Amino acid sequence: MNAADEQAQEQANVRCRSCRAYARVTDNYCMDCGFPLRGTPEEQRDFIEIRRGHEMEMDLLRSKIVAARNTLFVLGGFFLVYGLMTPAFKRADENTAAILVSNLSVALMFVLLGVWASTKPVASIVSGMVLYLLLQLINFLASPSAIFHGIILKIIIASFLVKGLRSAWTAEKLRKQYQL
Amino acid sequence: METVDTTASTAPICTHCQQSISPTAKYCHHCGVLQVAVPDIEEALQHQERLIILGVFFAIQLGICLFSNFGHYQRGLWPILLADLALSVFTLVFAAYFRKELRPLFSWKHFSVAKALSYASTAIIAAIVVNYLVKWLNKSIFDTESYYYYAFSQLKYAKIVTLLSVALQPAIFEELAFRGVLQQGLLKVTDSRQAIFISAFMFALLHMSFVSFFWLLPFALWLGYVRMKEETIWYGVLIHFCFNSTACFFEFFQLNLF
Repeated sequence: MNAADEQAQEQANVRCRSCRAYARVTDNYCMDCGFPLRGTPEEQRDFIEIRRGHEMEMDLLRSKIVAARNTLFVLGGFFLVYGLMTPAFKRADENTAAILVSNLSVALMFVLLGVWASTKPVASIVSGMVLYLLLQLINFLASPSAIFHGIILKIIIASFLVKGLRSAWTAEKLRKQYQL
Repeated sequence: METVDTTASTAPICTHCQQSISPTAKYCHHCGVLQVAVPDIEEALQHQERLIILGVFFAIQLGICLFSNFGHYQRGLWPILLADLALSVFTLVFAAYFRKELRPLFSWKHFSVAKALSYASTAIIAAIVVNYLVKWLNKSIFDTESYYYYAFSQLKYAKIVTLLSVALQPAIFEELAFRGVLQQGLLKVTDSRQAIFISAFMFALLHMSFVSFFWLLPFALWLGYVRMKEETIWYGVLIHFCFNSTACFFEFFQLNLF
């Protein structure tokens, strides 16, 4: 902590009504959230209402990010189960170990991305979407008709991921803009 | 857009009322103006346009890699050479589009031989370890042995062509594509950690091997980190070249080509 901060903390003897950060009585605005500490009651009320609105919007966005994160975990679980079931359904010409290792690798990727989505949702959801898209494209090239298998489920998964990405992007912008 | 220089030894100044403020202040305590740079509408539109261009760039790369790996032609001399050529041409086109932003990355200003040697030796050691592991995995789990060299073995200068196609071309053009175009493009719209991760993830995925992914991702993260730290792509090109050429020499030794 530098000298200016130490001095500010020493002089901090009031708390912001909006974010509860410490402030000095001489401050016009809170340094953490911009609350008008010496504004009129109407100004203060309007500020709190607007901020509450942003926080509610953030909560809604967070719920969509959580849904996308859960989708990544579900995909990880699906590939894990599919990989483990391989020995039971494999064709005679298929290499069980290769299919098992590939599916477990994909499962691990989705799970790790899901874990990381809690701190860096944009990067992890983008990566998860690209991975999912790539898997669909590979399936399509291997067997074009396979694209229609479980098409409704595929659309649901894609929509959760797209909504999650858009929400993560908007949440990042809101967080920057209003320092939430 | 103005930002507050929090690294200066003197107290920073508010971007709006010009009064001194605390270095940790998000808002000015005099006028209440936010001190963190926030993109305005015009910038937000530019970001959107940039993301679309980067998306198209990645989609083209993905399409070429899918075609050369899973297309009906499968892997062979001409598909590989055509894919290399297409990847190089498209990378150059997009690099030309972002040329103003990429220009500082081609700087040699702070190039250090000692640093280059240490990066190169680390890359060679990493390549030896990875190649042993990959060959072992391919043999014991996948029951296959694949060699880049076989794609070019019928040519007169097969070893040289293998080195050009496997070591030199990817070192230059993959670095330009992923640490140049993609990472630099993403840095404008997101923070450096996410930009490094996304470009590294895309790089690892484009190699189309879900097992190799687990060594390609750390390798690409390292390349992304080096490019951020050194502010040039040349160390990355060197690392990539040393890594891939070690893999080629590893094969040449295994196939008793010396």
